[in-house]
Amino acid sequence: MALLATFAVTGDEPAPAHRQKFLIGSAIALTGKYAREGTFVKKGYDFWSGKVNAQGGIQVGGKRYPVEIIYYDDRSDPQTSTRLVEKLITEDKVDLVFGPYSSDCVGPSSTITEKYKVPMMESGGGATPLFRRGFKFLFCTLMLGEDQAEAPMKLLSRQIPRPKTIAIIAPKTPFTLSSAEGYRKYAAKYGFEVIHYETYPADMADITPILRKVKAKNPDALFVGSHTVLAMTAVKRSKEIDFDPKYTYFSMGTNTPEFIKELGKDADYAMGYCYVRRSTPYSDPFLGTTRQFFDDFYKEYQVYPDDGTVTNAVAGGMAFMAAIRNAGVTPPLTEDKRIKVRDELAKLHIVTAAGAVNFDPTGHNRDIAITVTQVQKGKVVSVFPEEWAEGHLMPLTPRFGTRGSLPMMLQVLLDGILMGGIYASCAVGFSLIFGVLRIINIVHGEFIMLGAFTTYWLHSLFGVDPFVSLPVSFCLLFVFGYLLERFVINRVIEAPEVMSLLLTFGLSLIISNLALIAWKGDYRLVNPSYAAVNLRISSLTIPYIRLATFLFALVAIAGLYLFLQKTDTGRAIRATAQNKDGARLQGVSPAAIYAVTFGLGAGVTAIAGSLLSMSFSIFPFMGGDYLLFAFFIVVVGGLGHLPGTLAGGLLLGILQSLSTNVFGAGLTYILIFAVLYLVLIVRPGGIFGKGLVS
Amino acid sequence: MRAKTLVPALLILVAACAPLAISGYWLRFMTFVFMWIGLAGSLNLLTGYTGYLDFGHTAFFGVGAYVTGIFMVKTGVPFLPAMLAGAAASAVLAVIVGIPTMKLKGTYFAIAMLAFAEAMNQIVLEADRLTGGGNGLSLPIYTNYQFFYYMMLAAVLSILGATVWFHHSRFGMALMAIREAEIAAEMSGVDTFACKLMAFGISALFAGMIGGIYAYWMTFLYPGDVFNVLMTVRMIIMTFLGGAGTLAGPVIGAAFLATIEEVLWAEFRYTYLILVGAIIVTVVLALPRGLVGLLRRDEPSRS
Repeated sequence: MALLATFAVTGDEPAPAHRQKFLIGSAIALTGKYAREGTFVKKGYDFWSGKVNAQGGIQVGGKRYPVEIIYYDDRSDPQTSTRLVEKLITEDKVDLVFGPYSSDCVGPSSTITEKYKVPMMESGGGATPLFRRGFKFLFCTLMLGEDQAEAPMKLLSRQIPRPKTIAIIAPKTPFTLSSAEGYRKYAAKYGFEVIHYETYPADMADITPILRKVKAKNPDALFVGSHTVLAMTAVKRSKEIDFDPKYTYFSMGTNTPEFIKELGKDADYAMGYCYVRRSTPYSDPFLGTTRQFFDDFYKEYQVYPDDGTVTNAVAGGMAFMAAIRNAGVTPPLTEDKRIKVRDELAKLHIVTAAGAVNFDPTGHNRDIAITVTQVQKGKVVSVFPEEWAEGHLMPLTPRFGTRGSLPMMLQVLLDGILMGGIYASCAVGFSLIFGVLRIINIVHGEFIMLGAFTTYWLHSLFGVDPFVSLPVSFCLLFVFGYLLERFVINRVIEAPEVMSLLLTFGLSLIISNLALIAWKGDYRLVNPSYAAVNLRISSLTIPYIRLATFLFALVAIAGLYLFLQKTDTGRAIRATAQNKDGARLQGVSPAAIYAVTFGLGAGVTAIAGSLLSMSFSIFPFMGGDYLLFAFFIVVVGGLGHLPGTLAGGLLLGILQSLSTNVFGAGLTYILIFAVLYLVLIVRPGGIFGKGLVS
Repeated sequence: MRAKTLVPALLILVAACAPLAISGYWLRFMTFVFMWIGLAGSLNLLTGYTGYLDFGHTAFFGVGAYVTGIFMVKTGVPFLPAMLAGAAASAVLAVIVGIPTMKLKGTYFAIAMLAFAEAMNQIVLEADRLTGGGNGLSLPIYTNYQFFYYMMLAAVLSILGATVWFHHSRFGMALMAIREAEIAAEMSGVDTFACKLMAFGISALFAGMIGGIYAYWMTFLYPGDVFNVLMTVRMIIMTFLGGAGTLAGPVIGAAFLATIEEVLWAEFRYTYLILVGAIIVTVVLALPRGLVGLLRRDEPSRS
């Protein structure tokens, strides 16, 4: 018994009083929607702690104490973040905390570090409201979300000829909204006229309607509050509609390797910012010069820390180290020692190779340098501050200009129709499967994703033309869908609908996460040479690729329709949909028909995914965005009624395009769901009344 | 009979005394488990007893959270009245939405509620003067975590109380009759529509109450987090994992899934969602009556 008791004490955790190293906790996104950025930040922390420990640790009073970082994955989820931060503090008894990525996680978890009086150093959430709460233990090496907008405005104000008008767009996320508000604030300060300001729901699939509006106002510069994927799609969308403002600025995404890799020469002229760059003339005795720091980092990770999240994470580590030294405290850090470190952090004023650190009273870093960059001839070049810029800012010479905006509505309508066709092709497989099997197939989104990846890999590995890959997508997913139904889904076909819903949801989790492991969360594009060649009739512009995907979508839907009408298998499918028992009496095996139907649905959906991949970003969770639209289209067109699906798709495309133009994107989303809801209530059979009604 | 009352009584006693022994992370973890038991339990009051699959249930959680937050931030109302206002707002909203929506059946009801929840998300994003929109809403900060533990526990107990009442009242009988055969219930003189609406309102009331506690506990609201369709999906999975239409089902389902996620996530960082998917698939294929079905084979459940 006594033995057991000692075991319990020693085995549980070493008495903290003997700990000879600093323990730092970090709950950071390694999976989920911020996995990409969270992984970058972690590299920054690892690099810093590796450097510290290579020198034997942090020197305090003639003795060196190594640093250990405990990592947990907060799955990009605020609830999980709070739990893990509290676990780090109360269970692991960490001395200090490195903050999570993104403002929605920093918000709640910083209340916990505040309660326990543990300094939190973060470089992932700069949204303004977080720093108006009067917290004493929250420190952020980023500049305030708004204030990062000053550098590009200052730079633009010095250009000759001086740009006059700017447009600002941003999705509604904390970071991008802060950026947009900052653009507006500093545009006023530097005397630019903001002629368009629009924020829109983050899950908006196609921003073409917004860009159309902006284009019609012909601004000199476009400022986008962006995350990585948006920067890529915005460039592609602008090109498709011949929109080429002299200056285009993104708050994130242009400094990542994939931006240039996936966009090719379309990436040129895009502006963005980072914090320190390899050419920044900073240095400190620990990291050396910024150039050395970048090269050391490259040796370790085969990538330069161009992304601001990495350098700021390292700067955060440097700030902790300096504050510990100044406070002269040794581990473990009790509350009074942590308060000492906090006080030292508050008055810190240091310059490091990873950036300068000097916190203002709210905990924001007021000294961090912003470097404005621009992609020039396939390379990221720093253009501001001028003292250590690598090049001059190059304006894009407008190639097409605007030629009047008279038929704007016509153009908007046309955009809507073209997009609507693609939406319809996304939904037709969903409708077919519901009509015949009577299940809501959540795996639908993954079929789109797999189709898109098929096209991506055939194009990037073997140079296969995206349109040529369509039959391959169809065949692969037909087989996959057939087997999936035959061996798994068929087992719940007679069960209540919630069972098939849960089952397909489980399958969709499995498939999308396997895809994440296999292909990583990177955003990819299929960018064939003819991607942004546009058809111009008077002042209308129609991207050939949109026109072609529209036609192919129609062909796929028509093909499916004809197959169902004209072939024996098609007749058997329709018979099963109408009356399963009757079909069975006629010698049709429902089980076999179900599998074939599911395979057909999967195959057609994969074609839609392949078509989408030519205009939209490809990543493992892309399918979810289209699933909601599939619901809309299928309900409005009538569940299980194929011609209605085409109408539903077109209606969605036109509604989205027109309403975004007239009312703005936020109201459009409300409108879409309101229409969906109303159709269900008033006409559950769809607008034609030909759908299945329960 | 004795075991049937003794076991829950003991569990409640342990839960009530637990904060004497646990604190920090474990207290938070238990609060989190209670939150999910409550959410699954509130969904169960509707879905488990009427058979209506609410795919937008998180809308009521979100409305409760935002109403509580807005009252506290904009008008300085203390937490308790603000939370009750949030819960009431959710219930009223459910009844208003329910009047047209509950005329739909099965899949149609599910999709309509999904659309409703998404519309709420967008409305909260648009109404940024009131809600903070995409910048999020920061609430007054209160860090007495025992308080939140007991609040969540109280919410769970009231939900379970309502569930017991469903089992033993004419109202509950009427609901189950609707679930099994609505037309027959109607013909036996049950005002099916009023019963369904009331169940919807009660279910939303509790979801809103938990939303209010969540808001004050987390101190920061963001529309994409509270109106996330994955929140609803988790409630559904937990309910059916445990066993829908039973008292213990949501408790077991939520506790099981929340715990297993916490364990799996730590050990299998990149594969844990695959494992969760595999668990769901296994439960659907092998345990259609949920975990409760494993314990009791005699009681018929909805199938």
